[in-house]
Amino acid sequence: MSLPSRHEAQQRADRIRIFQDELDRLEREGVISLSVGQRQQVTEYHNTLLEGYAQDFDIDRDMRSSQLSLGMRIASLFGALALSASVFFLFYQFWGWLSTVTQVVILVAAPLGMLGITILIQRKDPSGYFAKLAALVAFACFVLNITMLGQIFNITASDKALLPWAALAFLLAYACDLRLLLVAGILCMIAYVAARTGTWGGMYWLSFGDRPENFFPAALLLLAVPQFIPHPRYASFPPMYRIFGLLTVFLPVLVMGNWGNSSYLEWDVGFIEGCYQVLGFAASALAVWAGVRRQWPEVINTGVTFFVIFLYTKVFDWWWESMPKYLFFLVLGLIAVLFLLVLKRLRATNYKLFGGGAS
Amino acid sequence: MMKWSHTLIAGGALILLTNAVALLGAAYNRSDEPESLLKMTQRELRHNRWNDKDNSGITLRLDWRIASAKQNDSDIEYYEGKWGAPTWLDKNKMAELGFDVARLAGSYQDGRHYKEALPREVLLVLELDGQTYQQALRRAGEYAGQARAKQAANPNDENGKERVKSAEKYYQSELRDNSRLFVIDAGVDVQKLRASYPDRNRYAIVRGLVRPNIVRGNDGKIGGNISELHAENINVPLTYRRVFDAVAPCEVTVAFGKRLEPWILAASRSAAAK
Repeated sequence: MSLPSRHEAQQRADRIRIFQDELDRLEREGVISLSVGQRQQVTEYHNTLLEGYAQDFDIDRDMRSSQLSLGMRIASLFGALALSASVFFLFYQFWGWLSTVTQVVILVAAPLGMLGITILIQRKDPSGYFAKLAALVAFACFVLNITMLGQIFNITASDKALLPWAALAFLLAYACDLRLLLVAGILCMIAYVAARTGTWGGMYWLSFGDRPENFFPAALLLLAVPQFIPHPRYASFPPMYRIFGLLTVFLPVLVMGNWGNSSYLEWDVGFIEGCYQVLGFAASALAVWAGVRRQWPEVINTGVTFFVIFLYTKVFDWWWESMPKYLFFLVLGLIAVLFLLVLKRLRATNYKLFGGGAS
Repeated sequence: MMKWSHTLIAGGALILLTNAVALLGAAYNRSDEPESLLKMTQRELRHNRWNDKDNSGITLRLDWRIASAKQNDSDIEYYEGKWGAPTWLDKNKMAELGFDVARLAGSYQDGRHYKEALPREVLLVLELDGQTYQQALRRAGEYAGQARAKQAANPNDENGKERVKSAEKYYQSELRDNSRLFVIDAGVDVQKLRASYPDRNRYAIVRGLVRPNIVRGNDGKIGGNISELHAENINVPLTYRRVFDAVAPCEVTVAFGKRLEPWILAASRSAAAK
């Protein structure tokens, strides 16, 4: 049997805890009664498993430690962001007093050193909190490294810098199982692909945001990653790709649905806006359908959120000026109720309409 | 998860390779003879003292300007700096830079000019203390002379007195303080531009952005603005730091290399004092 990832170990530990609670209850209510031997056998097996997981991954073995873990995750995130900012300001504070050679040596050595420290911490501390902290600082050092080299040698800014930043973020994310670094890598990749698309469209790379359609290739790429690259040992990564893939579709569609001038399309502005509004509704409904069918809760939630945003934007356009405010907000409330009813019906039918989740 | 040794090797290689590419690029830019070499002073290179508390580095900003468009009595003394549409950046020049001027004109007719107003990266020619500066200086002098003549014809006019004071102040600024560095032309081919401006100690070629500008009225006259100059900020290495520690006149030799990126070749206070 292959060694599970930390995420899988935690999931298994959670299931064991739920199973033990339910077994206790079933025994108390007289539904089932295990013999002392059977009970001991199950308990010993679970204890051995949990001890192994705790030793290898520092997982949360009960509800209290799970709550503490949440606090640790938050502290680790803030610590990582603060330390990264500190690295930036530390260098800025003193770099003017250093010779160019010293500046370059420090800038190159910092990410290399932090990479080594991250790996060392990762090996010593299975919880991952300190590794996350070190990994983000390593990434910040690398961003600082390239940015400052550009400043020291007056190099013209280029989108190509986003590529190695994305590569290091992905490397650290997969090496240390860190979603935060995965998000950093995804954001760099989105910016790079959008900038390249813009450049191929004839525009200056930093203007890529002026044509939101530049983000669509990045969205396709992000949505394709979890489809074509299996992530058996990184269960929490595919949802991140899907969330950011959908955001990279829906946000540009939302912008162009309200500001058609930003589109590449040569049609009438009103027609472009109409098309993107329809596309927004269709794509968000499609996301909900696909999410239900494939049991991707993050896709359902993102789809529902944007469907509501698209709908509310339209309702605002139609009725904000013409309706009394009480009526306008009443309509919004009724739409929300209608949504609840539709989603409740979906849940009640156990998604059979969509052919998913029938178990 | 990945083996730690693989992560270390891959990450280390990535960091070193990226640095190597950046440093080799900088070395290539500075190899051989510079593409151009300008001797500027504190008039053209402004010391950005903003946020000194947290940033010990010194960055000089190229204070470039454009020759202002047609001016009349009321705006002659207005220092346009880098804003506004240069007279030479007209419809023909925009077409030469690769802008689809027919499309731009059409976009104005059907109200889609905002859509077309995206910048393009082009080459810009900087002129140091050349004809354009002399014209600006002469115009400021002429205006001061006209203001004095008007005042002499009508000595009781209080507004006239103010105008003379203001025109003379502007002339003095133009003579002593204002930047003498003008963007005077644009193109897409370094060789062609260099052939037109062969003096490498007066004309530098740099990269920058030009954004289309369709002037309202006048049937949508097509022109452009220079929205960015890539070589605008120049880092001061430790060697020359002392020159810029205090506000004082200085002379700085800035080289522009093969990639048209600048660096400081020499800097001194004494040279300026002489």
